[in-house]
Amino acid sequence: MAARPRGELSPVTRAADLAAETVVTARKVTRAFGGTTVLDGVDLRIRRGEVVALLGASGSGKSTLLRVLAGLDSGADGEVSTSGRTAVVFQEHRLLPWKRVADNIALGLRGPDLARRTAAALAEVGLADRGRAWPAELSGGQAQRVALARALVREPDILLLDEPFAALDALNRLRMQALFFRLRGEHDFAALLVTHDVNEALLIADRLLVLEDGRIAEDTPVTLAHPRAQDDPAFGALRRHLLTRLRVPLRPDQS
Amino acid sequence: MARAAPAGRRQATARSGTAFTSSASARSRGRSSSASGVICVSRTNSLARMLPHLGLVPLLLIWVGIGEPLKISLVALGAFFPVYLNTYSGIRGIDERLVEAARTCGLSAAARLRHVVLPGALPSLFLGLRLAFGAGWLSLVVGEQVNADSGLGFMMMEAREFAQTEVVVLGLLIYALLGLLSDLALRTAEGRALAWRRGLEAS
Repeated sequence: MAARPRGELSPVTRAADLAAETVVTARKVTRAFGGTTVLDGVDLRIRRGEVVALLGASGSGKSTLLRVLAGLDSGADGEVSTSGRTAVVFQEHRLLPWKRVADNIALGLRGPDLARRTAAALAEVGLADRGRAWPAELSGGQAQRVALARALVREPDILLLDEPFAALDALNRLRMQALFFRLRGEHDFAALLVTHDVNEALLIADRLLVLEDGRIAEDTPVTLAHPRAQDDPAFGALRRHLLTRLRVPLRPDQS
Repeated sequence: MARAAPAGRRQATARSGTAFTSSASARSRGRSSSASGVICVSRTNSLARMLPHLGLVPLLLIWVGIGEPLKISLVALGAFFPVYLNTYSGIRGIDERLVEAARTCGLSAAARLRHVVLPGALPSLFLGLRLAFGAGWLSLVVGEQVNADSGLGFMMMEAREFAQTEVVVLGLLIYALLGLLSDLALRTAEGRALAWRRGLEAS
């Protein structure tokens, strides 16, 4: 954790400090594909160490926004600034099939203790013994954990996650959510989690954003205490509110 | 993980709206000009590819004469197109998402070429090499039998003049053996370079 003498700051430096505490700032981000406007002036701020879940209906532009923030979309308009290192985890693991797991994690990194860092990252996701394996030899859940390790080894200030657990089976998804929560306590990263899973968002996020008609339509802090349980009444209330916001029927007989 | 906070605020991707648009349009311009370039090159290429390279023997005889240069030119011509075409399609077939992931890992264009594009095109390159070996041996046979003053084919053609069947059969056997050896060498190299595919086949 970054040790900083907060109490000694003068008001002026405190304001500067507040600005430094923001790791992602997006202003008036617009993106159109052909004639369709997907993002229509999105404003977004993510503070250091904050986990923000980005919810929205299918096709609402969640992934597009994430790609803009990751610097992968050159066709967007607006202003995006990030401070610090950024790492991305995609829905698919996107490991290079021709590199062993450890080499995939170390991709693009340099340094004398690279092997140690790689091994540490693998151990963190519970795959200490699979460094020599080829990606094709891993199960879907394992591959996604390696993708997470590949992001973590970069010691990111901002972790951008594009539906990272969506392609996993239900049990693996719960395991990954728990793993993410644990790693988040050990590292000091801010995260933007794009998801369509309201429960997932409520379990791990500090703040929820709902993207609708190309704009952030709702910005709700989640004040539930950790560890969060899905059978908590407050959890259920927030969940119902969000599902209504996303125009999802709460019960099968409502449509 | 204890880590000091970054000393200064780094504007990693700060770009103004105009910069965004201008870079995007510059990019699309670059793409269209390179696309027309590809079409131009590939048309000439298709023409050259459709021409059976063994048909060039008369032309090559005039240009380089008989002997080693003729054989080398024929083999090179026969081997070029399988390697070129397969490598090209291999590069075109690389998963764009992997390139993108490599970009997020901070790989420069040169590093992406080395770590993503070339290894990704390697299976196709090997396919091209195998076809090239076949075409190469064929070119050698023709080059040596049509017009040469030395070599295996020359030996076989000479033996035909004197009806020495055993020498002709010996020549054929040597051709088969050489082909087999080259294929074996290529398979070994392929097995080593593409070890990662074994896992792929097992799954």
